[in-house]
Amino acid sequence: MKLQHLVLHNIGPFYGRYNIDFTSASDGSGYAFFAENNRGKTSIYNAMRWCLFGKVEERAKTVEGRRYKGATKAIVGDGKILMNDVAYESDDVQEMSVILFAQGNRGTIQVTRAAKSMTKFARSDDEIEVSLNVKIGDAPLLDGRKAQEAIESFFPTDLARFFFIDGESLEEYTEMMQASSQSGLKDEVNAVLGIPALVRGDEDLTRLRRTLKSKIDSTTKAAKQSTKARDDALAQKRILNEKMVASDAIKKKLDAVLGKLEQTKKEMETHAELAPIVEEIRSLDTQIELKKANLLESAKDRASEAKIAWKVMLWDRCETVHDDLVSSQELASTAEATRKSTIQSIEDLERDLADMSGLCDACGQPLPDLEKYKKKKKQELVQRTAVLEKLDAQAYASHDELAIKVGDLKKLRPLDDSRTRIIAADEKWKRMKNDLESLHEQHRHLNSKLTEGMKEDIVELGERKGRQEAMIQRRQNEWKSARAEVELAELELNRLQRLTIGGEVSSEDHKLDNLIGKLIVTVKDTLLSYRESARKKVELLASETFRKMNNAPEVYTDIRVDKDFKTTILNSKGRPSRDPSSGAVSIMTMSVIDALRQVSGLDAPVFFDTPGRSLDEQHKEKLLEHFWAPDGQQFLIFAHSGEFTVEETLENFSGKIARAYTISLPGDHKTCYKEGCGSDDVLHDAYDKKNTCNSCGFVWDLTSQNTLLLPVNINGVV
Amino acid sequence: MTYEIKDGTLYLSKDSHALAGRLLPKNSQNIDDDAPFETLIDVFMFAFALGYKLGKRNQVPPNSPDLTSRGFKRDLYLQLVKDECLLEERTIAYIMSEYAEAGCLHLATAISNGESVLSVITKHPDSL
Repeated sequence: MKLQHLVLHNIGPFYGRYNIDFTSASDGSGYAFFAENNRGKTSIYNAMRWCLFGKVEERAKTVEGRRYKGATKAIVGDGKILMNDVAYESDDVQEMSVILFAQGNRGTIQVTRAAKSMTKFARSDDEIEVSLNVKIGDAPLLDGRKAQEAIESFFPTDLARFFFIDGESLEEYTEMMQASSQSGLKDEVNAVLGIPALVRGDEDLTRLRRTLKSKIDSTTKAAKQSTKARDDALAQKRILNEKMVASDAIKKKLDAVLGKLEQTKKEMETHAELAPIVEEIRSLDTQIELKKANLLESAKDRASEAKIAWKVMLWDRCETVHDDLVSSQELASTAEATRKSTIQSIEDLERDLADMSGLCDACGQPLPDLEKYKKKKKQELVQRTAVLEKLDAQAYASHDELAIKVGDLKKLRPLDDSRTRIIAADEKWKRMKNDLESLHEQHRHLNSKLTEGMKEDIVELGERKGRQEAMIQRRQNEWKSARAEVELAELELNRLQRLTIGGEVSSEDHKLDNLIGKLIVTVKDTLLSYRESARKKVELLASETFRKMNNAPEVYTDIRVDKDFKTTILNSKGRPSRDPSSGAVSIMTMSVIDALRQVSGLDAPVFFDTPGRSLDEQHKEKLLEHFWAPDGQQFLIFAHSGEFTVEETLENFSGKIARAYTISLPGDHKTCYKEGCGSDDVLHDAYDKKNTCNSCGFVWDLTSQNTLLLPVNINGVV
Repeated sequence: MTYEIKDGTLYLSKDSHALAGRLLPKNSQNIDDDAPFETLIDVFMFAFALGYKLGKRNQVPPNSPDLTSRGFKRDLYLQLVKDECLLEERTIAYIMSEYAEAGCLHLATAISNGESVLSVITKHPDSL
């Protein structure tokens, strides 16, 4: 596959559309992008990865000795994103795309991957819609999953590591190559060798054999079980027969009762005209029973009330006595109070007369009419004494005695509403009694319409019908459960009969098992031999490349690749070098990557970002010398001025370079960069921050952030 | 020397006893019999109250059956019959039994006249 054009739109620093032409009349396979840091080299590298694989992983990071896999770079959002910042923040529609044109075995390949915001301003990739279209030759346009599968057919993702080489991550490759097989290159090597399919085949066959074995085992087990199941099924059949016989017997009984019921109904029809009377009598029976219950309840209430009926009657007589006693009690209280006050006034008068001196207490003068006053007081004393004698003469019962009597009588006093309640309860009972009597009367009246014989017949028929209906209900339930038992027994018999079926191990299964076993051995052997053959090839090719690029052939001679693809630099004596230089290790790593790439047989361009990062001048030259071989695979380098300068590269490799570009900003240019000019006669305006070419008059803004992708003139050809 | 009033034993004549029995539902033949009392003492007290209300006493014949009257507090009615007890030097139960006997006689008459037992509580003494 030969890359022909790459069209970038709003990706990285490339705002707007940029068309990178990779077509060339030159035999050279070298392609170079020169730029200072942060101008867009890696963005082109990433654009290619995004276009082909749909994602770009950031470089792995080593933190405190531990390596962490890089995260997938976001298209939009915060931080460093794939979409051009201006397009993301300022454009009305946020979108980016990469279109790749290449020439493959099946014709022209066109891959278009585009991302577009689904909202007004997408804040994360969740709001971005990514579309993919692939057109190969004359085949129909493919999209979505089919398009990705088509890319996989000409550029497998598993091999991307060997075609997109990151110089910054070279140590990562080296570590993998020197590590044990578990964390080493094994998976990648498997991918390069196209082994995954074979490994999967091995796994599939093993799984298939396991399934088959399981089937054979279960069949063998089933054979043992089937013998027992046959015996069980015979026993179950007997049980089923017994249950069916029992069920049929119940059904016969049920049918017989149904027949009898029909007969009873026919007999009842002959008494049809009297049936209403019987029904009414029955209804009355029910009502009478109900009334009796009510009457009993009412009688209970009445008895409860009747318990205090005697109090009501007693009180009719005691009430007067009680009231008299209360009045006497009051009279006795008043008489006692009068007696006490009379005694007190007598005592006061006696004391007054005894203490009388004849002198005024206030002025001490003799009182006039003393004798008259004394006489008056004495008369008062006589009167009071007479009153007291009269009071004493009256026989009043003691107050306490009266209080006891009143208290005792009060215990016999009914509640105020007792009489009413007793009468109400009695009335209710009488009402109920009358109702019951009335029902009895009706009953008697209806009974008189029937002769005893008729009545007995009708009642007997009704009872018989009831009995038969109850019996039918019982027989139906019995038959239902008998049927259920039959069904259960049938199910169990079916289950047992199923167990008797099969259980014979097929000879075909055994044959197939043997065949799969042989196939597995064959696949494993093939894998081993293929891997060994590939290992030898990788070792040979890597050693060849290493020798070409190595600048110390007297010290380091070859590369050894062991069975787990662990690589080692060998010294001139054919032994592992103990402490090889970092340059030699880098060259070894590149040699192995290149060897693996060649063994993979995949015809695709190689993208090498920062290729000269850990190499000295001599190694860098040898690197390009080897990879930019005439008519070789396209080999693209993305280099900054510290690795490769434009001038020196052109001077040393002009015949091997097919296309070269510089990536810059207008402010980077001190000479005129207008196509075909290149004059260094430039007027620099520091105030307005612009340069003006005195030769062609071209003016450029030194503050502009528009990335310039300028083709380099190679041997007079742009 | 004053007479000391004693409790004594309750008695009713055989006829009154039979009447009292008929007024208990457990002894009645039919559900609709007028038997509004639960215990013999309930009947006795009803009859006593009726006799007392009427102010009538009938002598209880000798050898009449006594009434089992556990928990019957005769002294509660002392105030009602005290004077008679003192005057006649009789027990409380004796006086009460005589009132009850008279009450039973009146009750029997009322029942035979078709009145319900409890309806007598509404009657004026003069109408009985």
